[in-house]
Amino acid sequence: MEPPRLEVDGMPSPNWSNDDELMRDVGQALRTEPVEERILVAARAAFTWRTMDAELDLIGVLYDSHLDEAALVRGNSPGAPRTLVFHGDDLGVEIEVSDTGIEGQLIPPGPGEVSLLTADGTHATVTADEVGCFTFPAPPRGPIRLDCALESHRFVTEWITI
Amino acid sequence: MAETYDLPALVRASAGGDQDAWNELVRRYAHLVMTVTRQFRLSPADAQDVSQTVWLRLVEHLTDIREPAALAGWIVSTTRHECLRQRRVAGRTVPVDPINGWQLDKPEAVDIDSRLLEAERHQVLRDGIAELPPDHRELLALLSADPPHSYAEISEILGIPVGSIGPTRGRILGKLRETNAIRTYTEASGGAAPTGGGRHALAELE
Repeated sequence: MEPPRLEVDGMPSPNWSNDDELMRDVGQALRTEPVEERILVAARAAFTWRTMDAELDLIGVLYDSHLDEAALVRGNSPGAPRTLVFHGDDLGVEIEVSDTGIEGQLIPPGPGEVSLLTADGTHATVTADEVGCFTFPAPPRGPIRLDCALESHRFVTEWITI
Repeated sequence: MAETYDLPALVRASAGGDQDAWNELVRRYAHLVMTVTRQFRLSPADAQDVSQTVWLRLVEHLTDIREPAALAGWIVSTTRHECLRQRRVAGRTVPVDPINGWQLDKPEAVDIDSRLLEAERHQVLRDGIAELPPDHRELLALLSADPPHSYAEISEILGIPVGSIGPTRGRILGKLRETNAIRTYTEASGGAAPTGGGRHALAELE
């Protein structure tokens, strides 16, 4: 006798102990269309960042206004600047991204150098003032990260698409 | 030779700096990333940005991955997260309905869940097939071709008797069920071998 079929979100799970059902799923898995070459090329090239990632402290996103439902409820329009906070144990960086560029501040506030890196390796470097504030013009589209050199520490943020 | 690596070996080799192993991870999982982004109806340029961000993130996290079997789940949840961010970015320039236009409404979310589970099942099957010897992979590919090959054609292509194709298919499917990829998946999704699926797709690595 067949065991009862479990359902996930109303969709029957495949019964892979049945040869015909397994073969049907294998066919679907193998026939799915190939990925565009330019996407594969970019994905392979991502590996060139491995060495840098291994050497520097990596700081993740703590807050993103684009993922903040409360900010949406407050009525922030799609044109409003996006706020991103990257924070580690005791240091980080906060940025506000708008159509005209990026304004940011290092945490803790203090002077330093900040580089904006893009996935293809180009970068722009600016100086953060005595309270850690810095500005970049609008970067090209695609993933970016910040490389922040404070007086006693250096870190990179994780990649983010802006 | 990267094609013969199993997944834990590929992840370890990538973390150790082996570009070929990384390229093989890309080859195996790029489709999963694309399948997830497609559910969010992003523009091709946005989908490309999401894909690149996911791969850059994976480079950052290679050394933290303790359970390579959960890689597909990590990729699904990271891609999904980036798609949600990207939707809002797209909202900057595309006119949208302020009430409904940029919120993930519930019926669609359910639909996305079931499509993600399907995409993950397909990925698991491709991972399992990658563990099989080349002649087994070839027979499965021929049996899955669209339009399908007849047994007579397959017999000619592979130089095996028509009468042996059916039994060979059964034996290969048996081996497929015993691959690490498929055993890990069926165990993770509830232990009972007969049913695939489950919430494994959204499991986090960390």
